[in-house]
Amino acid sequence: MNKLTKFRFASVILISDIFVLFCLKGNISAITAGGFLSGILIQAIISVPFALWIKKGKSIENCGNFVKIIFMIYFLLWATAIFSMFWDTSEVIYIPSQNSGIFGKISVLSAIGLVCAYMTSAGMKTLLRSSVIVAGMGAVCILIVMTSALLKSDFENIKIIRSEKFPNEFARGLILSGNLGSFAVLLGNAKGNAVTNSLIYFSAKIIITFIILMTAVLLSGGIMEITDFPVVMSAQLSQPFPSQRIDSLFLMIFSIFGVFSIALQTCLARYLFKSLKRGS
Amino acid sequence: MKKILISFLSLILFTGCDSDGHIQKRNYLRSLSVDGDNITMVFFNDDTLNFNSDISSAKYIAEKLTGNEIFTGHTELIILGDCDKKNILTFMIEKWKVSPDCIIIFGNENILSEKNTDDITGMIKIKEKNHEIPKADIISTLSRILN
Repeated sequence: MNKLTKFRFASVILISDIFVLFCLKGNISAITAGGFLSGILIQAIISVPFALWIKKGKSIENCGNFVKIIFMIYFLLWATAIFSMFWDTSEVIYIPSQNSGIFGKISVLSAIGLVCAYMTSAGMKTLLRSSVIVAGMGAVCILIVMTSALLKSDFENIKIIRSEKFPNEFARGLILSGNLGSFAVLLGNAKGNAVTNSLIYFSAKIIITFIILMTAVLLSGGIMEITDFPVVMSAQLSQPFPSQRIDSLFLMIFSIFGVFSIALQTCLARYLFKSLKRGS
Repeated sequence: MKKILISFLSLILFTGCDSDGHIQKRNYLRSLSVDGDNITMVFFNDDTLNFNSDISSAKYIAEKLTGNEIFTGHTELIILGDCDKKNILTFMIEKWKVSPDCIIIFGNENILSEKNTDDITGMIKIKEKNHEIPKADIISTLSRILN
């Protein structure tokens, strides 16, 4: 694998992190944002000794076959988890009627599988090269939804807290941090100072997580009781212009991010498998 | 060349380019009144439909009566009379995907026969701007009911 620039390194992992946030299920509130951000802060602190270890020239690929196999299994399991989130969340994304029913589901499933297989076969280089463009598109979508939230939402929604408790939300944030596996493998392949790269990634993650969660709270906080997927609902409610909703753009970003996230895990598993074969 | 052809075919097959959702084959719902089982629908082409139904079957029955598919995403006004307001508004958001700016007022179907949608929504917006009434969009209204 060629060395990644620091922005490409952060982009490729953040795409997966953002997708996991899109698929967030259940009530969220300002407490959720607090729990998630605290978890990311702890991860950032814990990553420093790991980054210092990487700085000495070590990497996961040099840790022996057993570690590589563990990571391979981890990536495949996390890819399955992401696919499951993708499938659950796609039930509530508005898709025109001709895509519903069993034929629609099979065609969507086949399309996802084909694209993931193609991206995996194209290799890490292709995936990494496209990450900055994909991340840029996502940033535009998030920016539009955030702007709509700031202009139209009810700031009283920040005060609404239902059943969320800080320890539970902290734990939920940690459970959804499965992309740390990708972070661990890719950090060893990023240019520049590993500690700096690590801190850039976690800083960006904190900012984006805060933006996405608070936007969802502002837009759909008042109707959280009837909302299964608050981030998706906030995108569906976003209407930046009087005659235009953002559903179509969000659907595109959701699909691209979903497929990219699954393909990243399978690509990394394939990369480690090749490294395993080379080693033996 | 093969990759370009496959990409192009995928675009046609998977993005709805082959759909028959022509504008003239659809009715676009502008305002809706629900008062018990009495449903009144007013469309953007000024057609009005009155019938009896529960809300979950209303769209299906209206499409049978008009012979056209009904699109609800641009609905501007919903008037709720004697009905379960929380369930109706939840249904509107989840199933009918009405516009988040859709205005909700509580009254009966006579309002739609006495005034047109523009007059009603215009009056509501002026009152909102002058802080005479709280925000009347569907999200704010449902939020007040739920909380």
